[in-house]
Amino acid sequence: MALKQKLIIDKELTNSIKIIVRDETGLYSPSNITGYGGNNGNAIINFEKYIFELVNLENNVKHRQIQSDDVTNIAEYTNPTIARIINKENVIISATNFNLDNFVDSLYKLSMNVLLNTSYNCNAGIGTDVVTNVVNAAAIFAKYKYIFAEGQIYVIQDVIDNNIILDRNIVTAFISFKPLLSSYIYIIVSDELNDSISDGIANLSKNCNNSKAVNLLSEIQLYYWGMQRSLEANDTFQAFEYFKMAKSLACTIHFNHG
Amino acid sequence: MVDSNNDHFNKVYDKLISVVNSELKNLIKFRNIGRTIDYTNIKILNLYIRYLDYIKYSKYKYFTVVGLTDISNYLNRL
Repeated sequence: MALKQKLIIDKELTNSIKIIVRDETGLYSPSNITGYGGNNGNAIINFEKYIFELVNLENNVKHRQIQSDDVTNIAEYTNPTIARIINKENVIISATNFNLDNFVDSLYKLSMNVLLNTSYNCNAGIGTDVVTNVVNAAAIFAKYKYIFAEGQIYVIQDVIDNNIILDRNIVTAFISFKPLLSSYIYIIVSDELNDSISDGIANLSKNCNNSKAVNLLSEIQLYYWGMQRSLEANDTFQAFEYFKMAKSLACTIHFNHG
Repeated sequence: MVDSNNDHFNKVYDKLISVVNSELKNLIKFRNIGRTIDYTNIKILNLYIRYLDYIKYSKYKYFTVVGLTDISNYLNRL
């Protein structure tokens, strides 16, 4: 069986201030046949960095946190080390790392990319989605679906002869690239929504005759519950639809205060 | 009426999820077309959610649920 990365989010500890993730893939063994190394290749000695990317799918704002063992690079985080991440230690993606007070309520795509230290020569110019002169392009495509070059992550769409076709135009020209092992999950940050619901419930006593507020809160709570169950069922986009509706209704709660 | 049956409980809980999903999709449709919303079922479903969630996530190994058949019948009527 092939390598299968397991990106896990710690839901109990995650909130709008920090997102706690870990790499549960583990090392290859007879009892973990989808792990790193062994028959699956990708020995951990070749791991150069972990690149965690958090993309807000409502506005496409992207945050990137790089974990490496390079203590001289202040833009990268060295705690935990690469070895400790491989050994399933939690990584904290904190809003303060991006000079934010918190992550705003939204649906996020969180990806975990392992950068390998193998470099491949090529030619790749701006404004095209084709990387040319790649030796053994088909073999690379068979093993990897993502590449990293000049700070950009590209998805390999196809290979024709010695050419690699990418998912988008090249942003900055490059003459070599490194492969990435990548996996992702979707998460919903909903702390502001929780606060709105709590606020609405707390203020019900001030206007106990306000049946409109009671109805509204009942409806919001139902959306919230549906959102949580959809997330458990990995139906992220259904969860997000409920979240958006709950959020838009929660904004009106304040108008119903006595 | 008292039911002591995990399978029965799980079936009713799954039914609850299915019914709430269906109700929520209808609610979104009604809001989009400006139709008046009847909140009676919403409030009842919220109460059932609280009740069944409390049991589902409690530490007790066996579910002993008063009114499970009545809840099941209600969900089937929606």
